[in-house]
Amino acid sequence: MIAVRQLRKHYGTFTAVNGIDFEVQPGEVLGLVGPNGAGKTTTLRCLAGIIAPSSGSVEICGHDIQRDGVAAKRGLAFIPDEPALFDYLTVEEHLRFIARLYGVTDAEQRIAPLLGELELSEKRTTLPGELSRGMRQKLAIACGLLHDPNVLVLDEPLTGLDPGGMRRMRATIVARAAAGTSVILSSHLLTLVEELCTKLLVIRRGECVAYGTLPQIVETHPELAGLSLEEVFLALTGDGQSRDMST
Amino acid sequence: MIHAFAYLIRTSIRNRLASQARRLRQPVYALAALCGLAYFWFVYFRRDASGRAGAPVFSTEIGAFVPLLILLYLAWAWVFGADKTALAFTPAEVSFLFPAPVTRRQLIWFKLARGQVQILLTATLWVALFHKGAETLSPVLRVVGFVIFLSTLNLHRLGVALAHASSTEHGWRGARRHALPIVVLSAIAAATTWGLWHAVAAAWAMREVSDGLRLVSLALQTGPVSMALWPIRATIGVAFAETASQWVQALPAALAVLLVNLVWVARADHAFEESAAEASAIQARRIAAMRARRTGGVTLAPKVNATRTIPLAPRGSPWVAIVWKNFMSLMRSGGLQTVLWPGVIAIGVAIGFSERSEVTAKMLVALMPFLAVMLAFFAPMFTRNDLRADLLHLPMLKTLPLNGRQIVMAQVLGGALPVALGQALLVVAAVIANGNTGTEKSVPLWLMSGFAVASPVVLIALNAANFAIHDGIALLFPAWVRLGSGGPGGIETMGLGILTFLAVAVALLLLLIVPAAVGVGVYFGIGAHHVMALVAGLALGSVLLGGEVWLFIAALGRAFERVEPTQVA
Repeated sequence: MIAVRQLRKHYGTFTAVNGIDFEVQPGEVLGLVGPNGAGKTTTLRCLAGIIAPSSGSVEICGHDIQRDGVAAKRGLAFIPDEPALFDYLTVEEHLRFIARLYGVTDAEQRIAPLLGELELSEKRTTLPGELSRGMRQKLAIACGLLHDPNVLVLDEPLTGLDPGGMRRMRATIVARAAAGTSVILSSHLLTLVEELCTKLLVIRRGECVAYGTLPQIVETHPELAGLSLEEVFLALTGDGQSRDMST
Repeated sequence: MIHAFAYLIRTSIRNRLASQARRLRQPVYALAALCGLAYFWFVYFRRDASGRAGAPVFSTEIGAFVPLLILLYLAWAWVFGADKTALAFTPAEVSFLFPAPVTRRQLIWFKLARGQVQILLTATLWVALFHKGAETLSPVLRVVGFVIFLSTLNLHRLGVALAHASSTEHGWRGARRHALPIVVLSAIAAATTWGLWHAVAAAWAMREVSDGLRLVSLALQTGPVSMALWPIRATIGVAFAETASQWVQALPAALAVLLVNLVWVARADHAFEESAAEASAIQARRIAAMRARRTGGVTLAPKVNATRTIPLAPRGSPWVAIVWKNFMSLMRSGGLQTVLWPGVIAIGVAIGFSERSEVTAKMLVALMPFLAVMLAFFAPMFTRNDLRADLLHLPMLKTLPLNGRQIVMAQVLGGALPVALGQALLVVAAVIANGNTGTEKSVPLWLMSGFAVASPVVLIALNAANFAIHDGIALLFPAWVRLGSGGPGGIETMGLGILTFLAVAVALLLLLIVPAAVGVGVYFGIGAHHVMALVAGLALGSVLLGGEVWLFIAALGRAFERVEPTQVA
């Protein structure tokens, strides 16, 4: 599970994230939404141990990401919106590399089905430079899923995927959550968020403006009753201009 | 269009300088800048004050080999097309300029103009760093000379890259467009080979290396070889002139060679323009390459043979995966061959020829250890299979289940171990050759045995220290280092390379002080001129160096854990 307490991140005088609290239990899918520059990526990067919070704590499976980073990261997979791959490792070698890093001893049994699931079997010996954007994203996803993480952090996971790939990715997220994985999903595709997420964290200018299931959010903001998720999102995060644009 | 290009270059330089100046507000950058300025003051002004007369840059005999080395470099570029950066554009340039209503010729002129700024910087740095006290030639003329020399090389390299691109796209028809330069360079190479053949054969039969070198040097300075190498000597002459009158005399010839190359590149570009559709295809490929890579410059990506692999077991220390990944990267980028081939060739020569020619054997004994040490210093400049390549993937690296020390250690070893392998081959060649240097060995048997036994630990420690320093500079000063896995970056980025090299040399010297002192102490303590004393001294010194490197890596590991992607981007 994921537990975030009073997470703050400052860059000089600028506050990117200001005192966010939330939890994601096994099997839950948390949708992290907010306008551009709201602090979503900073939050995700703090969760994944990429940047250190200025204050507050992040626990992954009971391990503090700052004090016990290696143990916390063993159970975590972070799939960024822009896949970062090694130029000179083939598709299959990327997975072998990940297998060694995470100690996946039955990698042989896992690699072939995973490549098949993500339609990468024919690209096994291909270098990333020869893959399309979507294929590269699929490889990054495969690398994230190989070690069967307890916590899955996804930043715009459908970027670059074709319709078939998007459908399979949605099914994968649902299946992983059903198997007990805690999932955090950041996306601007509100239909995806609505379809997959069991609860929402809406942030704006680094601060939490709503947290909970959609009924819980509506309960605390009665004026949002009967609105679609998109309208709820705009009402919670948008300024007058964006509300005007939406109407 | 020229105004738009000039605006782009001007504003980019201005903003870059402003950004660098702002960075100096950070204490670590400010301190490093102060150290750099102090160094400049020491080597420039203090040396001037000493008033020593400047010696020639090269002695006549050694200087005679410089045109030959440049010819070899050019021949290599023509045959293998090794200089992949010559046609590189940044991703932003590809995105904005390639779809813009700009001809290919204008793009090439833009690239040349942008390169000139860096060449001017490189030339200024070079002259400042290697300026000699009481030198008769003014530094301004020296800088102009270097600009002409480097610009000619840069132009030629661009021409070669265009010729390769042309022949790749149009086959023989494309190659024919560059027939004249190919014929001229082939004629120079053939005349040089023919002229040197007899000199080398005569040198072969000599007993002393110095006599052989003198003979070859003489051949390079006289007869057909001298005439063949004239265009190259003309280019060098203006850069390495000793006096103002020599500089003035050398200038017309150097400008003529520069002009010839300029005309050739312009005509090569014209040939390319003939097929607009094919040019567009190349542009599209470039854009695709840019989208795929998203790092550094955009070049015509080489085909890589990814079928050869080295297995990696899923069990074992996780950090070994990074060493493996770096080794695969080196193997597939061609860097491993560059590191290993000199040793393989040297062993071949030692086995095949050193028994028949004593001068060859002696030359190998003298050169191979020197080359091994040079490889330790220079290999990190052209093999970047370490943290410098991976820092662009910093967010991904930081999500790996490894601590900072393990990541830095794996990156350092990933760079150091393949180089040590190449150096070991050179040592083997020296040992074989030493066995063929007659009854009175070039190097006494005890000394050679001692070096050979201790070399693995010495070389690994030395390489690890060197790569750790390079990685440390990249980690602590990412804004001052070129990150990514690309090669040296071409002639125009030599200035940055020189500065990095000096910083590494100073840091390495500091790291070596204690191990060298202890090693020498042990050697003389046990008893000089004894193989055991030598092995013990070298081994203990290397272990101490290894200990220092370990502490340094631990500190870098902590720095790695603190560094954030915004500092590296």
